[in-house]
Amino acid sequence: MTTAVPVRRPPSATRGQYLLVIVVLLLAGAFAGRVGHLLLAGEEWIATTSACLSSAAEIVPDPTAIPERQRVFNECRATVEHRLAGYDVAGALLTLTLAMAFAWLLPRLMLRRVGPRRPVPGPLRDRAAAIAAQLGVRRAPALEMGPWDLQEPFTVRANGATRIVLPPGVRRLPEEALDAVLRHETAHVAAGDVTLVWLTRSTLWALPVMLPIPLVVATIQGRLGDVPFWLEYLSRGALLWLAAYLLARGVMRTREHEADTHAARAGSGQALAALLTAAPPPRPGRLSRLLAMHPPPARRVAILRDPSLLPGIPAVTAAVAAALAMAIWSFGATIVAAGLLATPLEPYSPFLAGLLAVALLATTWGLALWLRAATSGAPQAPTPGPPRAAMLGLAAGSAAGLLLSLNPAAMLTVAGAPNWRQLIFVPLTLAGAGGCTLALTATRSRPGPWRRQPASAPLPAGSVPASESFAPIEPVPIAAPAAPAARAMPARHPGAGHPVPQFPAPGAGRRWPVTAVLSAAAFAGAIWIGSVLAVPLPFATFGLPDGLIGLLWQGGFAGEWRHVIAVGVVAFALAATAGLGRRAGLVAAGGLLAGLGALAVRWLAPLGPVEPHHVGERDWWTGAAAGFAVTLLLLGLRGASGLGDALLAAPVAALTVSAGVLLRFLPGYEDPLSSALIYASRPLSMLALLTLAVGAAAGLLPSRPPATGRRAWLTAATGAGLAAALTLAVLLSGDRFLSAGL
Amino acid sequence: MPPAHNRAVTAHWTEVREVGESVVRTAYPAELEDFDAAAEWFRTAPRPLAHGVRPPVGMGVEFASVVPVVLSAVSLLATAVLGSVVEDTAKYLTSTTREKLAAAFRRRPAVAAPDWLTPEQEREVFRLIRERAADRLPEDEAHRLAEAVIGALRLRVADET
Repeated sequence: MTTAVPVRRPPSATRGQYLLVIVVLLLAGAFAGRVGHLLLAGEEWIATTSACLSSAAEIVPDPTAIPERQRVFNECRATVEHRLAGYDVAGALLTLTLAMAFAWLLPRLMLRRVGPRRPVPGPLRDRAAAIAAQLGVRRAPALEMGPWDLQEPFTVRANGATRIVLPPGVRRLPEEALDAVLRHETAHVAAGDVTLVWLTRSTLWALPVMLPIPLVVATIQGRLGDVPFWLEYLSRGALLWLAAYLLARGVMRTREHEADTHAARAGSGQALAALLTAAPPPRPGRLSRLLAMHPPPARRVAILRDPSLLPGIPAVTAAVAAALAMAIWSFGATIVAAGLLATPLEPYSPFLAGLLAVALLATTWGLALWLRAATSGAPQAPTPGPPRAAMLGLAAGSAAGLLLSLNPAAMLTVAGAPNWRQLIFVPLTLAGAGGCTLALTATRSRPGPWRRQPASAPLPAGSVPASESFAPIEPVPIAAPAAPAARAMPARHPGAGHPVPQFPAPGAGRRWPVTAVLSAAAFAGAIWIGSVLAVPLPFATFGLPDGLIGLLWQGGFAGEWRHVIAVGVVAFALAATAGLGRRAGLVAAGGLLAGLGALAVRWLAPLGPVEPHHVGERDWWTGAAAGFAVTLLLLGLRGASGLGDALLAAPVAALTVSAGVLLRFLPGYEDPLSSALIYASRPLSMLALLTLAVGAAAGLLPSRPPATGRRAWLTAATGAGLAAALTLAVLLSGDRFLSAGL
Repeated sequence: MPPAHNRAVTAHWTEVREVGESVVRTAYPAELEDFDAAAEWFRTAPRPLAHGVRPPVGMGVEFASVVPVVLSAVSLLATAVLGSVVEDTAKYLTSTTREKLAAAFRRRPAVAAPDWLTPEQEREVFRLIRERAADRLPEDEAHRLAEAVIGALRLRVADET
């Protein structure tokens, strides 16, 4: 056999989902730990806190010296707060340990339940070793034949070895079909998640063991009297278990699809499709289909034929990820705050919790979608359509996460009353950030007519045709005369016999660290802006239009972190430039034209005199309006993929306006650098807010290819006209957009 | 001593094994090589065949060996006609059918050879086998297996006469 380049698998989108599983475990453990603290050390905590409150009032008698009194109070109660955090952490670690113990135990139990296994014939073992080498697996897994009532092949790591266990019935399969089975199972080994998948399943066991422990303690102590409290505790525990189940389901389904596509890349696409086509359909019933851990065979066949159908992140997983991120943000913040109380890191506790939350969203949503786009289509093919369900899942999950947060008092109340504004603005901005991350993946789309390549067409550059990447394995007689394939695998699903397409080369997703950072930045900005918008201010009501303008001011121009957000907008523009490739120049030129159009209106429009500082506000609005006009135009013309272009064109338009104003009035500025900073950050910060507001909608729109040639320049001219018109409308609105009008 | 759920099988094991091998030889020759091992496993199986193992991390496509299913179906038939009538099989087979089948299993025709099962009696047997096999096999495979079992029994009678 000739030595050949192994057929590597594309980057996996399921990695982030395993992180979610661990988060569920940690949260559930911390939740149980907190209730355990209440039962075991709650009275001491209450007594100490109360005593410290009195002590702080005595040491700092001045009631207006709130920071000093708070400092004394915190130092006094730090010990009990640290103990509280210790219970949380101990509960989290205990649950994680329990789950890992289950992950070790469950595969062993399964092998025991399967029963005695025996070695496979030598030729079959050799064939499996060749396939392992083909898929880049260094140590070929042990191949075993299971007992006679084993129904399905499976791969497991237990007792010091990775094993592929085959049901004896595979011996009647034709060679191609047997290769497909071996490639599918070996692909699981190549994925490196043979052990991790058991951590996912063990969660379903660990939570029911861990969560009732506080109930047992309460029963022993005779403290079960507060029925509503325990009902709430149990229902939150049940929700966590449901989240774990949905995650496990998502992981199990996605890894099957990934193993299928890897096997197909290695040359078993047709045979695998035939096997799946012959497989019996799933059990009838909507609920059983919904809860099934395996994807239906028809779906697997469909994804084998069109890998862009892989959702990247399923809607349910997106919802669970968003809900867990919100739980980390709220409940995690209280844990971190308790742990860091009266330490130099205390002021950073909300930031740290927020960082964990956005990291979770970035590694699940951001990376999953990026990898999906990077691996699911050849360069000439369209970027996959927007995962609408996942977008809705992200928004709904974050709202549910806030609503059902493990510690609702921490986030949802303002002066003791529920802050419903947070349930609206944070999910909206988070979904917008999801749309922006998605838009980055859309920059890969290319001009020209969009259509799927037929399987018979020449493979695009970068693809890995199995015939070139790996010398075919020498046929080895494995079984006695096999039944004809058509007889062994009758078609059960429509479309049997259709060609399975080739797959793009791996390695397209190498920019994942950049994507992770940008996604984290987008989600961090979204959480921050959403929270700022949710703070009720005197002028910000829902009465339009002043209430809306007030909200825009609050989140756009007046935001505390506007400089950071402006840097984030520029980073997204640079990333979009890299993704757009040659088209970046054309897209930037469109933004420049729009900025110039808005600038012309700013100078030529007849406006009344205002205070000097309001003149600057007119300039900021002009820049933001120019950028937003470009965004709206591109969304209208190109749908979801238009937002990818807008990430570059809109900041260029806004900064063109700022640069024009700065250049014109440069001699008049006392501190040109500070002015430049203000003119660069405020329009971009407002642009970020407006983009987040429409980002969610953008994710729901269908994508269309970009214009080329004269049509591209016509689009740019239209953008300039629209930017001018929107700027004119803002400027001629009687100064209602200025801070004086609020 | 065989497991409790297999004692009825063991009582008529020779007949079950012969008919089962004939079915596999005719309809599933690719599995004939494994027949002896599979048959021995079936005879001493630690659990009823209905509880086939589906690992939670399985491929999602079933490749169960057909030999145990064949033996399960044949042993059901043998138990129904050679032993006391099992309740859930009684509804499928008339007493005449059971008598003719018992003779076929024992290679002792109760009647003249041409008086093999009538088409209606064959349908009784067919329905019984197909229903049992459908627990483990796709519908068309169960159909095929039922036909193969009837064919094997018919050949058995013909060989004897």
